Amino acid sequence: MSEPAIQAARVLVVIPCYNEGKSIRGVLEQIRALDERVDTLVVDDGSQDDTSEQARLLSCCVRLVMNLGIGGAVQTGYRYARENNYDLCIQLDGDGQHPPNQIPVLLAAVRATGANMVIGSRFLSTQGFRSTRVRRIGIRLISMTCRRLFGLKVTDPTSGFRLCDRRAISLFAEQYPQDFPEPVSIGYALAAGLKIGEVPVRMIERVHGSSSITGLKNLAYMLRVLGNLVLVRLDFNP
Amino acid sequence: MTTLQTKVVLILFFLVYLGYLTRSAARNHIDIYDYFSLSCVALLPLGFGLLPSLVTVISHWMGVAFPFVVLFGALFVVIFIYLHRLLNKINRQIQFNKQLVQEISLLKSSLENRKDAAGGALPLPTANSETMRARTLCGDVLQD
Repeated sequence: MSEPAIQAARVLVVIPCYNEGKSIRGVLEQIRALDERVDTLVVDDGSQDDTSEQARLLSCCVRLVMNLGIGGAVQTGYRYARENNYDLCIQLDGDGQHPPNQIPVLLAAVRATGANMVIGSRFLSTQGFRSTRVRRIGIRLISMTCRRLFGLKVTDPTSGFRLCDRRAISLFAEQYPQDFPEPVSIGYALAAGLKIGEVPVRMIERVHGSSSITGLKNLAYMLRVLGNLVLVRLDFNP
Repeated sequence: MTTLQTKVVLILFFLVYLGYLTRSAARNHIDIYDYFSLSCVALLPLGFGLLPSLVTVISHWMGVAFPFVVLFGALFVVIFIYLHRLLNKINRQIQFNKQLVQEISLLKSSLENRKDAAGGALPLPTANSETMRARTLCGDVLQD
C-alpha cells in the first residue's frame, strides 16, 4: 500500500474484552486522544461485568451472545472489518497492556515496510513490560519453532498488539485459531504467503484483572501452541 | 464349534439390535453411515458365530491363536471409524456454532445501532438486509 493510500486508509481498532469494565474506558479515551483518525470496535466476549456498557459510552461495541474465547472474539472483529470495508485493522488488548499511543508506531511500520501484518514486539525494545522469566523462555521457544517451520524470525509471537491489512483481514475473517491464537495465527499468515513485519513497541503491565494462563497452564499452552504450529506447517488450507 | 444356544442368542441379538437401529435410521436419529457402522457391532459376532471355519482360516492367516482376537480387532476398527466420524461431526458443529454466534452478535449489534439511530423505532428489513442474510444462514443450518 502506497503512503497516500495509507494516509487515506480506513482504520479499525478491534479491542477484544472479557470482564475489562474497569480498564476499557481508559483505553478508549487514550485512543480518542490520538491524532490518527481511527474507528474503534470493542468485542465483549460475554463479560459478566459492565464492559459493554462502559464501552458503548465511547465506541461501537459488539457483545457476543455467549463466551467464545479470545480467538472467537478477535475473529468477530476481523469479520466486522471485512464486512465494513476497512483497509487496516489493529488488534489491541482491552486490559491496557498495549498503550494506544503506540498505534502510530504500527501505522508507520506499514508505511515503511508494506507488510500485510505488523506485530508490535516488546522484545525489540529495551523499555516497558517484558513478561515473566518463565513466559519469556516459552516465547523464545515458540519463536524458534516459527523460524524453523516457516523460515521467519518473529521475536514476539505471542503479542496481541498487531496490525493487519486487507489480505490479512480477509484471511483471519475466514479462518482464525480459537485457543491461544496469536502465535498460531502467525503460522496461518506465513503459510498463506503473507508478509509479516515487526516493530518495537513499549507495553505496560496490566493494572486490573489477571492472566488466564497461570501455573501448569503455561506448559499446556506451550505444548498446544507448538503442536498447532506443526499442524499448520503440515497442512494449511485457507 | 459354536453351540446352538450361542447361535440363537447371536441371531436374536442381531435381529433386535438391527430392528432398533433401522427404526432409529428411519426416524433420522442416525444417518446411513452410522447405521452401517453400528450394524457391524451385531453383524461381526454373528458372522463369527455362524461361520466358525471361516474364522479359523482368517485367524490362521493373521497368525492369531484365538479367533476372538480377530473378532475384537475388527470391532475396534469399526468403533474407531465410528468415533472418528463422530468427532469430525462435532468439530464441524463447533466451528459452525461459533460462526453462528459471531453472526448473530454482529447482527444484534447492527440492529441495536439502527434502533438507536431511528430513535427507538426499528426500520423494516429489506430483501438484501442483514436480516435476510441471517435467514439464509439458518437455511444452511437446516440443510446441513
